Amino acid sequence: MPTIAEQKCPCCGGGVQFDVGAQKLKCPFCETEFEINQLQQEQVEDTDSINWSAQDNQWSTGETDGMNVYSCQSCGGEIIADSTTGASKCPYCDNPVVMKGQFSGALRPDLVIPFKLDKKAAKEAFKKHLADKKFVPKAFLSDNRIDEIKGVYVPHWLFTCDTFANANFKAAKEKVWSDNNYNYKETSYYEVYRSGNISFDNVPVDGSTKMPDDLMESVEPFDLSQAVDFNTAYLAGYLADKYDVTVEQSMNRANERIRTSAGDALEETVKGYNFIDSRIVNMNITNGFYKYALYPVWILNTSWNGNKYTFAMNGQSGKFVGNLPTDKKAVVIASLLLGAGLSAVFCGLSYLLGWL
Amino acid sequence: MIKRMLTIPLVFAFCAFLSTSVSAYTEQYVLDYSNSLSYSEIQELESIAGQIEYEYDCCVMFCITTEDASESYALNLYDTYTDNENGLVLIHDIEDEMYYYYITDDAKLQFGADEIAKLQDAYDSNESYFGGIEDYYEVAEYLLDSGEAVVLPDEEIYATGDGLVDRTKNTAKVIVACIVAGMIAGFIIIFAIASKNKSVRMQKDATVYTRPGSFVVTNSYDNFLYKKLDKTPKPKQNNKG
Repeated sequence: MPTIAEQKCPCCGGGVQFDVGAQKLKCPFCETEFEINQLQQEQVEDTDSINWSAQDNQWSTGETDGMNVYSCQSCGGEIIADSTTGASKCPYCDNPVVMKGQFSGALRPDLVIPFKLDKKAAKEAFKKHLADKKFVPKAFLSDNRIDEIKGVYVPHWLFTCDTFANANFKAAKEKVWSDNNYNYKETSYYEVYRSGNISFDNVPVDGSTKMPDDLMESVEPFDLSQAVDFNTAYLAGYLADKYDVTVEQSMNRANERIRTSAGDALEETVKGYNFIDSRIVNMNITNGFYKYALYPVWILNTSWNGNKYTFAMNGQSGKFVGNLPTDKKAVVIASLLLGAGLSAVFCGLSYLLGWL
Repeated sequence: MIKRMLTIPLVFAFCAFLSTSVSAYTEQYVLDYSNSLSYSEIQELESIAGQIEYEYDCCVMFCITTEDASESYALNLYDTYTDNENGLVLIHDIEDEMYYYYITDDAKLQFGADEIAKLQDAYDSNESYFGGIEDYYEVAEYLLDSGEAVVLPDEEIYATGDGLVDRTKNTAKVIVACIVAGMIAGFIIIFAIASKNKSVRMQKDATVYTRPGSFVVTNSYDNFLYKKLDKTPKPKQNNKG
């Protein structure tokens, strides 16, 4: 059976959690605070040598594929999690647990950005998000309850590289003049070539299939200067996944974003033309390396009218995103009313201009 | 008391006299802002135009200007100098060699596109300004007399440029166009607001992760490929001036 790590309070034995405000581990029962490393040293000394194992195997063949079974060190309850879950809570005693094997060896993240904002901030951000938007169905607003709020450390691959890019543009200059009989427009086309070097640091790519890529890219950017070396203590009290998208699979997305930015940077140097007709960008990446990091994201789920709505908040900066339902009937009515008003204004202007 | 009773109607009568005088004074048919006509020529032309209005109840005006004219300029000019609901004004911008017409839209007598062409041709065909305007009035009188200036309900015709570019205005069409434009604008605005409910989208680039100061252009050149020339004929120039 895979083993789990539980951060226990040396004073009262309760399960400790990472406290966002203090940026330390804190026991929710006796409120004792511990430095990350201090508690880990004590934990090493107090580590039990008890190993639990399943009594018998009642799962049929293939049924447990992609699933791991853990035993809670506090209450002995069985925790069943999928193969990528790295941190969770015991469903019986609610103690936070970290699945150690998920972050060991090559799977160990290089960095983690600790949560800076707590669940309360996520709730407030959600309220603000709703208040800012128009044409959200009233029923959604009035009935709305967040079904679930969870703090998740989402695995990300971070790509750093130096890029040599070259781009070919087809650009044009226009010249207009006239004589007594004709108006002339001369369009001169040019092949414009630009090449240059540009470097990128820590371009993130979502390493989890559980998290929608567009949702994760929408809560960017994260400030990696606040990242710390990975320590499982930061995961206490949150959910965490190990990556299930390999670095090779993630490279294409990073390359795509880097290519666009390199092309844009080169295009900005093309000046003196009226328009650019086309562009082709090629690039060579050198000194490329990647890191594995966990990014803090608050995930809020709600359901309405049979549909699920997922919102996400950057656990570091507080950037909140999420698609809201739109009241189509209200949109149509508002469009018609505004359209009628604008039509009246246009008619009035036409009258004043003598067109009516 | 008697003096006061006499004074009040006298003041009213004097005001009425003044307003009539001013109105009569400002009733002009030929406006020359370019000093192309002499005073006596203007007086002669005014007399012809006055006679036309008297006989046909149609105010036919002509204006020579060096200012930048426009269709609305023509409309304002006409409204400034006459209250007659039947009439037209032709403006000749001699600097830009452009012509602008305004024709009253609620007139019983109206000039169609063909009639406007005849009027302009009459003016153009004469070498002098005075002769041209004289011919203009002659043709106008002929058109009114022969009944060629017909009733065109709900239509207004403008002509711009030295060729006749007609823009027939139909009230119903303008209203429909206003409604369609208003509705389209309304839908675009509301859909733009509603689209803010969608905040989840993929990032387009990695610009935010560019290392500061790392971008350096190493090579650049611009090669000329080819040239394309579009040539469009200008509207025909007028031969006066």
